[in-house]
Amino acid sequence: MIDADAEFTDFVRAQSPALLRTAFYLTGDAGLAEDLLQTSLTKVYLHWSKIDAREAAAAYARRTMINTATSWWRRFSWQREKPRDDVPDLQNRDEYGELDERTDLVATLRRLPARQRAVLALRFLEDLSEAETARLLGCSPGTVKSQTSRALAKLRADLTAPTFVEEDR
Amino acid sequence: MTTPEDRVKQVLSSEADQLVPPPDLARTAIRRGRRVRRLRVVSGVAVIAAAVVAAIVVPTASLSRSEEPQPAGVISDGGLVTVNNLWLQEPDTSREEATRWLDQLRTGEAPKVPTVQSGSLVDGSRSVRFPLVKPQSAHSFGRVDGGWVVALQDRFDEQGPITYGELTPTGTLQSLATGHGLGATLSPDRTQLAYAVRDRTGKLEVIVREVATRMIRAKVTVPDKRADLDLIAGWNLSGIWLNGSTGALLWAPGSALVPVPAADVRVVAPQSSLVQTHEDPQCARLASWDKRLVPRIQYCGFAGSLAVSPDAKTVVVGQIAFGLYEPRTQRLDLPTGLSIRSVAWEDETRILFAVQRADDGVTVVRCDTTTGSCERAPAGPDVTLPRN
Repeated sequence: MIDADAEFTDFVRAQSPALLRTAFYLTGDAGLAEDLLQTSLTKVYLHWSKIDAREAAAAYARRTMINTATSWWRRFSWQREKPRDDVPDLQNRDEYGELDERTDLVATLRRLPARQRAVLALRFLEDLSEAETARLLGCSPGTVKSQTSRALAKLRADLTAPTFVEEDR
Repeated sequence: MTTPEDRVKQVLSSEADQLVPPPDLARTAIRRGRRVRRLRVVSGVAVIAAAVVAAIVVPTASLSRSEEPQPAGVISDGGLVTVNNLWLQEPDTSREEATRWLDQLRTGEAPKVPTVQSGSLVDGSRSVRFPLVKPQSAHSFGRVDGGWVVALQDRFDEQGPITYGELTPTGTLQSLATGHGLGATLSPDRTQLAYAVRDRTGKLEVIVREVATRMIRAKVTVPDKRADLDLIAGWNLSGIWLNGSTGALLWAPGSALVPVPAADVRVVAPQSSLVQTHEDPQCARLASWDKRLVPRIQYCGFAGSLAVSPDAKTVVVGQIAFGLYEPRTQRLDLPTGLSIRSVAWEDETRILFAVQRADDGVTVVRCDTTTGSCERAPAGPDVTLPRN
């Protein structure tokens, strides 16, 4: 008889690097990514006996992470406006251009709604097809297409928009 | 030319390459999973038992401590009660399934709160068009004496300034203030607006302005060392709550800022001293303020927000409505794991959920927390519910 816990442990050992990457893409933060992965693996463990095909377990874990990340995002988004971390300052960008760009990119990704972030993560970072992404997200390929288009439009707008400089009050 | 998606991929991939999974992922998952399985068996009994204990203890203990009765389940000596394993309400409902469910719901009355729909503020039978001069997103904070307090922001500049104003029934927008993305909040009596501004040196001020007269009634400068503050989390009977990554600040206008060591504070019922905190990513906790945060009850295995009724007597966790002051549990007739964009209370017992549809629109669902019954509250697919 196969020991389910040993099997689960093997699964985690084999899949956790890839799952952690996905978690990072979904959250944009290393610490949150670990929390997300740990929480999702616990949920996977609870349903382990019901996952018939072991090859489906990784997809199930991804789906669980996406749903959990969406829930977390909702937790932070209810009744909340989008925070800005600081007053953008164009003068500093030449000197620290590369660092600013990385920070901006991560911040921009994190500002996307969870669903759009998930679509981007799966389509462009995990290189999944529209159909595979749709299956994981539990929606139609058409929805994946429209969410992708919106997310990219937002990314482009955010990354190319002129920086706001405050007027004197 | 490098596209934005290529740049995102390059940056995130290089950061992801450096990540190493923690060593005990499987062991921790198994340990937590086994604990949840044990709790699954006893949780129903535990919740009821806690509520029954509270029903016996609360009337004598809480009323002597404060005017506000203690939530059901809170031990009279201040101990924290934990309601566990709510995540077993999973799995999530797909948006297609959710849409089918939404479409077969019976239709009730339109939302009885001021909503924003297609560029208009809609409140009952009244619809007032926003005087928008360019593409802007708008949301409502709710009713005030002369109309509604609203916020407007350039749709294409979500980091840009936010204009707060009072929309009158004739469609005139009277500007109150310009703030930034830390948000704003109405006072519990809905006569004042608190918002934040930063000057070009980065100095952050929180300002309280009276809605009727537009006069500034109080303001405070946040110390430079608290540059981490990123959100006005609400205003309740204790004061105005500000959130940051290194903890919260509480400000009762006219007095000094008080640091509060708590994570992700959110005001849940302005007419109470209750706030929600998240000390653990998997537990949403309710605490009350009495010179310090006193934890009262927490719901673990639940990652979403708690929705506390305006009278602070009922809390909705997932699809369960718990009595906070009396042993009362009512399951709402909702599928599990809906994608809910926002919530608002119509009154002390009826709650509205803006539920995401497969076509990216939302449908508003009204649930009665006393009976559990739910119905559709007709509104446009782009409806947004008020924030306060």
